[in-house]
Amino acid sequence: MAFRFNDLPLDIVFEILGNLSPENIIRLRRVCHRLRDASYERSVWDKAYKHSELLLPEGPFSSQSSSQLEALLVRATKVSRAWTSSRPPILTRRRFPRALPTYNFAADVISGRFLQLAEENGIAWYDLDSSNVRDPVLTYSCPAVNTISGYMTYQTNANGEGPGIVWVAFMALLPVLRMWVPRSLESFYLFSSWASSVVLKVAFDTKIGHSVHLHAEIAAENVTKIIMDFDWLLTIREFRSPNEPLNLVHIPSMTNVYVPLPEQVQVLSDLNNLNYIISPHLLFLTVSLRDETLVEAYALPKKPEQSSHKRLVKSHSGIYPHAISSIQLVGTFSPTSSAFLACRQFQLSFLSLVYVHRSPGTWTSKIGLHMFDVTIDPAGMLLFTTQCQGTLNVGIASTTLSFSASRSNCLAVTHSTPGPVLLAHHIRREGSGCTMGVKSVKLPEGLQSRDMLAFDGFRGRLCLINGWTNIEVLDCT
Amino acid sequence: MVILITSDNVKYVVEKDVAELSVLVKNMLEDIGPSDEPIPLHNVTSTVFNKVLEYCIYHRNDPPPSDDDEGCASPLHKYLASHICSEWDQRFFDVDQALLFDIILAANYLDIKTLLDDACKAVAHLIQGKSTEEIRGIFNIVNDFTPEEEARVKKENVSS
Repeated sequence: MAFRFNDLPLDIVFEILGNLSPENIIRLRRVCHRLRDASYERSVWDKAYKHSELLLPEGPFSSQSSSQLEALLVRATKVSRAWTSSRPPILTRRRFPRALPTYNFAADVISGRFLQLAEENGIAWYDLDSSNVRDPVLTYSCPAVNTISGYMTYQTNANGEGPGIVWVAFMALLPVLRMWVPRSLESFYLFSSWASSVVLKVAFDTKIGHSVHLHAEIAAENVTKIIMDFDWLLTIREFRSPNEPLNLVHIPSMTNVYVPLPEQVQVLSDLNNLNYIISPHLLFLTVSLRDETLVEAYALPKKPEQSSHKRLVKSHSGIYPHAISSIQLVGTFSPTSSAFLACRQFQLSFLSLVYVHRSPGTWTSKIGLHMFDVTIDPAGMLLFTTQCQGTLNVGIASTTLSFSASRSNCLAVTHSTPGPVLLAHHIRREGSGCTMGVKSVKLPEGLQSRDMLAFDGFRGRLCLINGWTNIEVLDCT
Repeated sequence: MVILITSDNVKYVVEKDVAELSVLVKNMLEDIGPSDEPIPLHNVTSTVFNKVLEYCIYHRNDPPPSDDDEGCASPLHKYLASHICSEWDQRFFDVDQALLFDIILAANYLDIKTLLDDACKAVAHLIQGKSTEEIRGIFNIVNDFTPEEEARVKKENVSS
């Protein structure tokens, strides 16, 4: 009698099943006992996760159980159907129950799950995955929190401790550690330039409970914006002189390094054209000119606390042939600075909104979405390869971009006002090619979106601000 | 040159680099040192070994498979390497089920990781997109659920 499928040793059956899509593994549960048991095996889901072409968060980690991996893969399948197929996504709408103050709040969504809301009395975090979004899961009391957007930011995987450990940085109008101020002096403090940037370490852990600790407070005068990533906090200050460098703090060691202003910056308004991007080992600066963008790279010290060079030195520069309006790093697969400096092979990609079709003699242009890779040519110049591009058909509009990316997939949403016009862009890298699919997103009746708070492509969750005071959460079903 | 003898006593003279794609053979050669002694392959017949050899000769110059995540190649490159399945491979695995399973067992015994991986992918390809009944039919699997179990399994699957 011929050898049959069910005579194969179990570890080989696991190997075979790991090559299947999540739906097919689950369907095998109805075939027979042996395959049913095999379909719950962790090694099967581990392999399926590694080989999946779906948009998935980084993993699989050894701490994740087979049912957790299965749930992530099933969710990714649903998200892919909703956001990348030709059918429009069907979205369920939830309104965040509290009406917000018209101006005095700053909101963010961490990992598509925790709504971070700063109001005048402090910061609160709400779990959007829970059925109760009325009560915060965590709060940090701080009456001096500056609730203007640009003055608060966050970064997951703080100090390399996993996705649930988050740095939250915000500007405080008063020194937080010496918060008690006599009534008579209050107005003095409020109208003086006293300010500090505060870094909190927040741990989101549904098993042992969420927690927040004050990590550091740094005196910061005349700051206009803060940027944080990969354990570095950059405070952008009001322009006073081209000779005054910016402060970059390595958060774990609390070491300062200084970023020189580029030569092009001579006056205050030049700052509007600057973007800083922090990658694990490099700081990128982009200076948008009329039809092109100057990009400069600065190597970050590996062990800043031991480095004697406290002033960063420009290592490479190049020109991107479009004016960039906003730019973000894609993924965390970034080179070490030595690999970068040695021009070895690496993958460093950016997703950016650019101005395209700018006609001569006028500033009128359209907005384009570009994904490009950065490499270094033998002469040491930064070399840009546009992997894919699309044009948003929105005319002159204020556009924001939010996305999630994995090694081969990127799901991005652009939100343009007036309109609003929402577009979902699905970028896939295959071999040496890269494709971009676009579909428009129709909002539920009666939703007037003013701005996009966040889009999380892993959950298929879109968070918008409706009118002035309502946060809306749209999930794909 | 290495001499290999299959379970049905067929003798093969194989170039060393090809033979060493099998980790089993490689380890044996290391153990016995330089020698002309033939190496017996107890669990492989010549019919199956012909196929295995064909695969090894075609893939003799492939870079060795890297174990999981470390290494200097970018994740994208590793990812792509794991996904490329050439036309040659597709034709190679276009065989009847019994031989395909025999190739898997031989690859497992001889410890040839790339062949095992590719053959498992070929089997997965037969399953992908098929209904429960079709899978039972293709692989000759007997439905061993009691009617009560079947009802329960169906219910569980509704949610997913």
